[in-house]
Amino acid sequence: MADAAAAPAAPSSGGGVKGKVENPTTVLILGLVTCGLYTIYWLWVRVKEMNDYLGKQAVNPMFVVPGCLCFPVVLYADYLYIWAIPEMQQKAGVEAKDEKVLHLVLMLLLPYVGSYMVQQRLNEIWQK
Amino acid sequence: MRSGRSRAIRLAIWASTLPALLAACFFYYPFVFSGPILCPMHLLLGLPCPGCGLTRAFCLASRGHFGEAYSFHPLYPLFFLYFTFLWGFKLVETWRGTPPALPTGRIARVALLAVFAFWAERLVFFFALGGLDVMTRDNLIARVLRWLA
Repeated sequence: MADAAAAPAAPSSGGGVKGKVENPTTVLILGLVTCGLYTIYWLWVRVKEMNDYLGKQAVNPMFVVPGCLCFPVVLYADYLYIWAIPEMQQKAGVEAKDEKVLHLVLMLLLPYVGSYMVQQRLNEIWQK
Repeated sequence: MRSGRSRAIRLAIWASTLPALLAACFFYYPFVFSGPILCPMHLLLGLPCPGCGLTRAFCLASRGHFGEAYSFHPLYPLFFLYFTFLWGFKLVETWRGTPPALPTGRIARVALLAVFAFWAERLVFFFALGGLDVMTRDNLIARVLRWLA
């Protein structure tokens, strides 16, 4: 299912294969409606996109799976993911703002809002 | 290239995570049945999520009540093995500086499928055993109405 959702669009100018542009509001609403299960699936798909784009395993998908079982483990995956976003921005030629701590705190306290903000940053990269 | 000292610190931190989890389960045991419900799915919809019961199962298992732990989450030994595997993976990665050559994507996909398959099976049993009544009683709106009454 992750493979289908993360179907590559086209090669980008800076990095590897571009990911899919998603509506951040949809991500937020689906996360709320499914009580966070969609947010775990969303992170799973985004991790695959990131690894494809960077051409390396920046985030190990094995750490995303326990999202609904052991919160600290998925927080570690969030941390790895958020810390690799500036590399993607650099590769795409998008201005990189230092929002890592803000994103991590949001993913910890308000994961739906955190995923909304991260999706906005990703869309900037994919639309470049 | 990381220095040997930095690697040793990282290794010590990673090595302490699983024992810390087990210690937390052991010491949380007296409060595990009276603690707050943290699962958003249970709080909002009155439905069990794939991980519901896992904290209680781990706490019970940490005190040697393995049979009782099974009744709260039948997959807790598998999840414990998975966490132990992740722990070992990180230790090896930190020690060697490169991750072990394993099909991590495939392992993660199988684990994710197992989690969702278990959840589907849990929901089937939940509704077959009168879960709709539980859901009607335990969802957030019903709780708020009861609190207001």
